[in-house]
Amino acid sequence: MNRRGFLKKATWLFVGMILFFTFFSKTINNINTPRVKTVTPENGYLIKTLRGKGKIVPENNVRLYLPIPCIIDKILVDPGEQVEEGTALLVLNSSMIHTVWEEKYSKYYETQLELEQEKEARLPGNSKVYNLDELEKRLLMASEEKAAKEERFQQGYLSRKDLEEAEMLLMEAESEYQAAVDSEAAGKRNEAVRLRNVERKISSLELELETMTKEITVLKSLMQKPVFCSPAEGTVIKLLCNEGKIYQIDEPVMTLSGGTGSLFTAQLDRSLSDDITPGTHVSIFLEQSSEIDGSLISFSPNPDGQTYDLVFSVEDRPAVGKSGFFIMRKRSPYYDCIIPERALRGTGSNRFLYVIDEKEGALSDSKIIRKCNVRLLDSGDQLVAVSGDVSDRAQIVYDEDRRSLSENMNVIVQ
Amino acid sequence: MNRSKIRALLLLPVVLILIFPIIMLFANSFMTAREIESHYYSAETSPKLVLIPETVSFEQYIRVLIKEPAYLKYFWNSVFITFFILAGQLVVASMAAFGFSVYRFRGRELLFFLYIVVMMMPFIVTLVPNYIIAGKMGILNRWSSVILPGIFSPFGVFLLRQFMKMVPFSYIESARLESCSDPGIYLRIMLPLVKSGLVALIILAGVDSWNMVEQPLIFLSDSSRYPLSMILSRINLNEAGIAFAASSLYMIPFLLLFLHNEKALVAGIAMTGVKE
Repeated sequence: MNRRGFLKKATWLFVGMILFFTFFSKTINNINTPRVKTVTPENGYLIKTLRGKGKIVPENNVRLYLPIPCIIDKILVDPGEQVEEGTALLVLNSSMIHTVWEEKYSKYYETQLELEQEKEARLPGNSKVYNLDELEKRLLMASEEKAAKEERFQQGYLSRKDLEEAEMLLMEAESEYQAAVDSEAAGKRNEAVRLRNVERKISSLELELETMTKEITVLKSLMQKPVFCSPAEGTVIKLLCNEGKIYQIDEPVMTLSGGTGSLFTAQLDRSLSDDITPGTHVSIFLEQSSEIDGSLISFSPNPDGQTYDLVFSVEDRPAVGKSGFFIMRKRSPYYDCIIPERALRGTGSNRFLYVIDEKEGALSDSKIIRKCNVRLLDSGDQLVAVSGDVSDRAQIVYDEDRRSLSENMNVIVQ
Repeated sequence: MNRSKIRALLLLPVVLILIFPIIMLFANSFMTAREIESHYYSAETSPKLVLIPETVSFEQYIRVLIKEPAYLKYFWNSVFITFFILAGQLVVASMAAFGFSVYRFRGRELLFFLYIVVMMMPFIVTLVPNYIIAGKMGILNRWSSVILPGIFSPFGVFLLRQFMKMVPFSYIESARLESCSDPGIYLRIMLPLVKSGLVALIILAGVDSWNMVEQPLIFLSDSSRYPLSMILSRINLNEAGIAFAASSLYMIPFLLLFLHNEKALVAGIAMTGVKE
């Protein structure tokens, strides 16, 4: 091949290559590069929904628990004694009731105050207002003034300096207006995220207040009359408490038998039973029935060690033997970093997240995957709380297509 | 050993020094990102100059052509700007040179002298007036703010005038006797005769436009309109791999153009020194 022919072919090859990649590089890139979906971490509470199957049983032996942690001053009944609903069973220590009441009451007001603050934070008045109308008017005036001065300048009534001043004013107004428009857009985005967090916190606080109100009502009645009464008619089977000792709310104080009511019994995996407490409200769904309200009376570990037996009181008296399921919602403590469960990778102590780092390049900005080690603190319904070196603005990968990710990989964020 | 061999031997080190960066650029563009990192920005060792890649890889080219599609966008920006500058300059410069070489008028030499003076001025001297004029014309941050000053560059007029001066005036007179109009003389006689001059202008002015950095930097504020030369100048050491591959590809169009028209270019450069 002569030199000219070679050069001609090389030129066509180069032009062809450039055209090919111009039209198809994006397509090839899209095929090769994994697409990921990201979230930013949130703060707040995890809601854990516990579900389990169970059935309605006749109210038989029931373990009774104190509504508050308290010292028992005196036991008023003996085993074998018949009791009615409302019969006084135990005398509780009134000074301890008072102490618990004070604690709960101050906590109640703290929570209420916090709720009010959060509600105030929800008001739109707290966000910065960018007076766009005013700036737009200013821009219009500057524009009109410049046009007028330009006309006068062309007619020879005005010096160039005056015209340049008008131009400067117009440019200033334009840049101010543009800056305000940009700031407003950014402010709106931040405000939406903030409001979402505030709403979450408000609903959590309201839930907490509702529970505390119930507890305070119980405490108030105990302060008036520091006795623990029988919740139902029956016979005292066994005393599980002693006078002068303190009992927590999850420690049974006596066993009662009989009664004409119904209970809902269910089993729950032991790993899910952390933090559940007697008195927790549940919704029970029986076959061919609508939702029934109930509350947890007692829970105790099964001999197999894997499950817990849960006993719920039910408000109606459904037919014995009906089976169904319960739904119990538990709220976790407050966490700073809550992410979708899908975003958490690894197992055991090797938990990690994939975080997107934006790398500024001369040609274009690229999004690179970085591995970030974290510790799992708690898990809720599809959400988990983690701790680690994760900023509150980090873009955390929670879903990817086509292939598995690895560190330093280039990705497309959807 | 004859004199030409001694001259070649003496020039060889100079040639090697001049050509070394280009060889290094091409050779390093076939290295892997990891190898480039270990050679040029390793924390432990100081940068090393390496010419032969450990593993020949097209990773950097793939990155530039596929993974960073923006490269081709900037490439086409360069093509667009250069094409319009060259097209405009060929028309304007050839007409002006025709005027200078064919017409006899008072102050012709003075005017041409002014052209030479303007040509000698560095770009930076005319920067502020150009900027103000572009601002008044309302073309700032548009490609025309870069293209228009390029079109009216005096270098093209100077170069083509030298070529046109070589055309015997009797050709023009004969054409006039045959009732050929001046545009006809320009199109049918002068342009075909100075074809090599036009090619030389395309290469010399084209390289200038292809490599421009200051003009886009000053006149264009929107980075999406930048030519690739501007982007390449912004690549930092952390992206050395991209720089090698992108620069290699960027050199190819004018390298091919030069190889195609090497003789015309040499003639063009020689012609700028010819005296009447």
